Amino acid sequence: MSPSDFDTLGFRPNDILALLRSKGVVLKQATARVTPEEPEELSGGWMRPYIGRRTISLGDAATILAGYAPAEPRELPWENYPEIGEWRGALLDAIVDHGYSGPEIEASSWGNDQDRQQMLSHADIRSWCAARGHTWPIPDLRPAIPTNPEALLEIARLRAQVTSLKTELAEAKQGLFAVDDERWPEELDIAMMAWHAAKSGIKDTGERPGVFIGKWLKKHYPRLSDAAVVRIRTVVNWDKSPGPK
Amino acid sequence: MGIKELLAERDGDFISLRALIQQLGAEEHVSIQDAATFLLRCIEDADESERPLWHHKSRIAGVEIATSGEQIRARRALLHLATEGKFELGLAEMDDDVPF
Repeated sequence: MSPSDFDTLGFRPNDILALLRSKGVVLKQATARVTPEEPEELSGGWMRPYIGRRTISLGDAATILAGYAPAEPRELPWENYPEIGEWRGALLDAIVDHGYSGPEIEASSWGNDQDRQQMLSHADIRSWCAARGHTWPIPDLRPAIPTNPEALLEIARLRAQVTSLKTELAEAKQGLFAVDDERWPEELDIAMMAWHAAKSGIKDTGERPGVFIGKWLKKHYPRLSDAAVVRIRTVVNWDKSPGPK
Repeated sequence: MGIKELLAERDGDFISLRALIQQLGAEEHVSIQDAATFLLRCIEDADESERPLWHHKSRIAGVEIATSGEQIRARRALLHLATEGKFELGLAEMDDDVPF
């Protein structure tokens, strides 16, 4: 450990602030310099039915561009979602034939409910967004295959990096990432093994984790001092609820 | 976009352990030690899916996921704050001993 570790090691603000928030601590985000979070609705699986769709209704397209899943806000008054109204306005501008170059987004006719009945070309929406730098979150069914040599090299490099990271992640999940390092602390090593043993062992014995871990340490490491047993058990025991362990 | 903005864009999405502990202490009106202990417990108690990944920031590479060695150093740094309550390191800590 060096003094600079306090400054060079840290977190992605969104990750750590979310964890703290889940514990009831809400920090101001100014110092943390947080990047905008992806809207929760966009991280769900609702997009799948839209992948490859040839048309999307005006209301759904405006809702998606505003960062919501299409099903929910449409039922509510527009006034509650001004950003959807703004995207709707932008889309309406794009489907109108202004007379000099035709509409940018092809759209169908509609009856008494324009938001639900007027269908817009999905491909045109994607092109319209790309031309303006807007993000259209629905994945493309047929993404363009890069042929540029530099792009292919970059893809190969990134694939190798992904493979390496996956390996590292798998090792980390199993707690194997540094066992061969000469600096790997013995007590940490014992703690990792105790945790793995307790994770499956308490299912057989029915004991509370702390009890199991204490017995396991005494059995497998009889030369550990009582203080070391307490230290390791405290670290390993995931059951932090009050009461006898 | 200028060089400063380009660098800031690459490095912006990062909060150091020092900045986080200081912010946590200042906003929650607790000591460095209490802030670090709370953070340590939050991380230990978190499910694997919600446990945040440590990152490393360097001048050249920007912000990247911490290597296994860096993760160990990060945990030690946090443990040091939780046990000692200060950012200064003693010689023992700098010699790579586990700080307890």
